[in-house]
Amino acid sequence: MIGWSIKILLGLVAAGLLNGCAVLHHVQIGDIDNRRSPKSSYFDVKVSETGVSLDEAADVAKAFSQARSDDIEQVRTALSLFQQGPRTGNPVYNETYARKVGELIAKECPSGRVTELRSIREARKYPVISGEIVKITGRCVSGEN
Amino acid sequence: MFPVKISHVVGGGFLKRLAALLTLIVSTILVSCVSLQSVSLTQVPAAREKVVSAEASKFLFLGIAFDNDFVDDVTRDLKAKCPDGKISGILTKDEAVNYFLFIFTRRRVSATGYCLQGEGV
Repeated sequence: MIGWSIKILLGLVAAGLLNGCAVLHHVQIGDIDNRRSPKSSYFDVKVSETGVSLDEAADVAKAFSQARSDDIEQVRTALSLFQQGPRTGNPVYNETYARKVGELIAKECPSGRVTELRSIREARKYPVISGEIVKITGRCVSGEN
Repeated sequence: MFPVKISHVVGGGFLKRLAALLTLIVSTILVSCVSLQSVSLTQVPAAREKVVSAEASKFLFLGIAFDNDFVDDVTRDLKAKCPDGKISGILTKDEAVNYFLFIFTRRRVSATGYCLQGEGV
């Protein structure tokens, strides 16, 4: 029988793993039109893609597999050669996931009068995988230009 | 027991070295490194009389955060400082201030812009 303290500890660990850390990569605040407008509403648009940390995956593989750690290290080195250069977050399979942001904003704000745009590039980090997120919030002013 | 000064026992040189060591340790703990994560700027207006700025930050232990909602405060504060106006030329800076061997971190987002009020804005 598992003691209460171990159950609580396991619960805390599970909650920690499932919650994931929020990592902030980039913030941008656009022009703000704070004048009185007859009708306006806030909107938010979010796109995301699953990222994989190959470094962490290799560590897990080393811990659990029967393969020689030298082989895993060689695979890690070979993969890292293809993933050089500056980046935010983990690599994703579909690199075009953020392209539809403009369309989504246009759909949310048909009038086209958008103000208070705030773009946030962040990641939800879990062991090995991560959610690579682009979040846009803004205010749509209704009516003609 | 006779009242004996420590300096008589261990010597003044030792105390000086101890003070220097303590100063070094305290300064290492208190001094922080700042790294700039991102910067962005919007169109700068011709009229640049009234400057408004806002800042929000979050203190993190071991860099762990469960949300980034503190960023919302920046826009709200900027709007409060420019009622019935338009804010342009917003320079947004996202910085990470690391304290004591990167155990403690403060994420700071600051924004500075120009408030345009009145007719013809």
